Amino acid sequence: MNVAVLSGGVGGARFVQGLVDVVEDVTVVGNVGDDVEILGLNVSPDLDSILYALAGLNDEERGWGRANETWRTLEIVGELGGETWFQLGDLDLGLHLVRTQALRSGEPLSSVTLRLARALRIETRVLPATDDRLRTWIETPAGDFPFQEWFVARGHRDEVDAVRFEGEADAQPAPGVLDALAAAELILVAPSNPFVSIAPILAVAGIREALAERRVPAVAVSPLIGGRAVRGPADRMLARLAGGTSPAQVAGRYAGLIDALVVDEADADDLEGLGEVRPIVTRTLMTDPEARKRLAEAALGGVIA
Amino acid sequence: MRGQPRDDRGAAASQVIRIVVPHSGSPGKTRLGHAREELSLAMLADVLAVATGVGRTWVVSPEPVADANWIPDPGGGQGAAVEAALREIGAGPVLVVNSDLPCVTAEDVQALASAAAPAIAPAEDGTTNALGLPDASLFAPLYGPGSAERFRAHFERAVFVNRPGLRDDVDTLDDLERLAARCGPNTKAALVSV
Repeated sequence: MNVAVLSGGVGGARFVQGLVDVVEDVTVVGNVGDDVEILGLNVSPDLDSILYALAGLNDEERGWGRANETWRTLEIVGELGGETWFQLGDLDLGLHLVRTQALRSGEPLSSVTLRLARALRIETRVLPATDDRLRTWIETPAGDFPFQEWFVARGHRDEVDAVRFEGEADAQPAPGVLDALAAAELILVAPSNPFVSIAPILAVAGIREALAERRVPAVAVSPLIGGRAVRGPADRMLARLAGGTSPAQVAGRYAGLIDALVVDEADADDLEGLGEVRPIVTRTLMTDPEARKRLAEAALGGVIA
Repeated sequence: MRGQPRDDRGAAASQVIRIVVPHSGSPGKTRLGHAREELSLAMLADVLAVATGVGRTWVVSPEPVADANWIPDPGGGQGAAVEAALREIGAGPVLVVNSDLPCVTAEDVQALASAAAPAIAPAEDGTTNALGLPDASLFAPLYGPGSAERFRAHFERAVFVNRPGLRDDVDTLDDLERLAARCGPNTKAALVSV
């Protein structure tokens, strides 16, 4: 079976880990809206979370970055008066060096990402949504911020009035993305933040059109449990920007683009307003590999056994 | 659950799974050999046992089948038979599960019912073993060689359901012997007697 999945970082990466246990042919289309240049290096936090998770190198507890990480380089950067607000570990830096050099020599992000995946012995295809520059901006009462500045530097405490994507008018789907969506027998949307993880992927016009005109079902997994985000600001953003945190408000972010929404048992009494979107109720907390696999199976709706 | 669509009798409409089982009746599968009728009825009994455990079930066949809701097959092939059955039971979600699937399980039938789009269970040879339709009106009489792909082209969106119990249909006695270990009890018993 052939599945394409749109994914953000940490939660999405965990979901993809479970998915590749169940489905042999998976293409991940990852968010690049929160890519950032730090200390002269090109960092793609969501793609990296996916690569590290699929390679089994991710730090389970922290959620992002590599396991057994050390921070000596960053300490020196701090001692020398450099910027340390965005944490880059010593092991993690290796990947950023390789990617930065490749991008600087003109290699597209999709190409270097596939190369990194091969080097990490990952069989799953991992693609950025676009090779073009697409950046998420967060509009708040305190001003407009690039995503990482709001999320990391300011600890995502400013309320969000709007989200916009710099470069969306010109962003083309990365090579392979539309082919993967056309070949998929099922399209999934990982349990990622709809506003800042999935919306930047859908901001690429060709990708949104491919979903709208899909010939196969698309199933999204809600990132909320009992109306609360497992981590991150998805619940606060939904409450403020969509008027609530019920499954209907999650599904509303994907209007016309999904056929079913996987929701947690804690939300099973709150399924009003889903309209055409079919609810799939299961336990969605990905506590361990078995739970991740079960969630993937639920999202697949038993179409393979 | 709140928010589920309800039919006019007040029952939660989405909870009533409706299943149509077309059965060509006697002489059944022509390649099954001498015991074909007995085996064909045994497979039907296994499919019906599973289907009635999952939802409300009808058999559409030329002759009545004991202990089953029967809809007469008007003749003209499986497509015409299913169309007649769907006319009889009316609009709404419905599954069509062929009677030559002796390994089918309740989970297989549930998977058809819970698919997020019209579901097609293809046979190994590209024909169609089962369908899950969000509404009876989506059906078209497309059975025959290559029908799984033709059903897929017919629906605006569709998903192939690939589960052993829905994939393994029986055309020959060899098929049955190969599947014997996984068959339902009626088919197993009939196999021993032939």
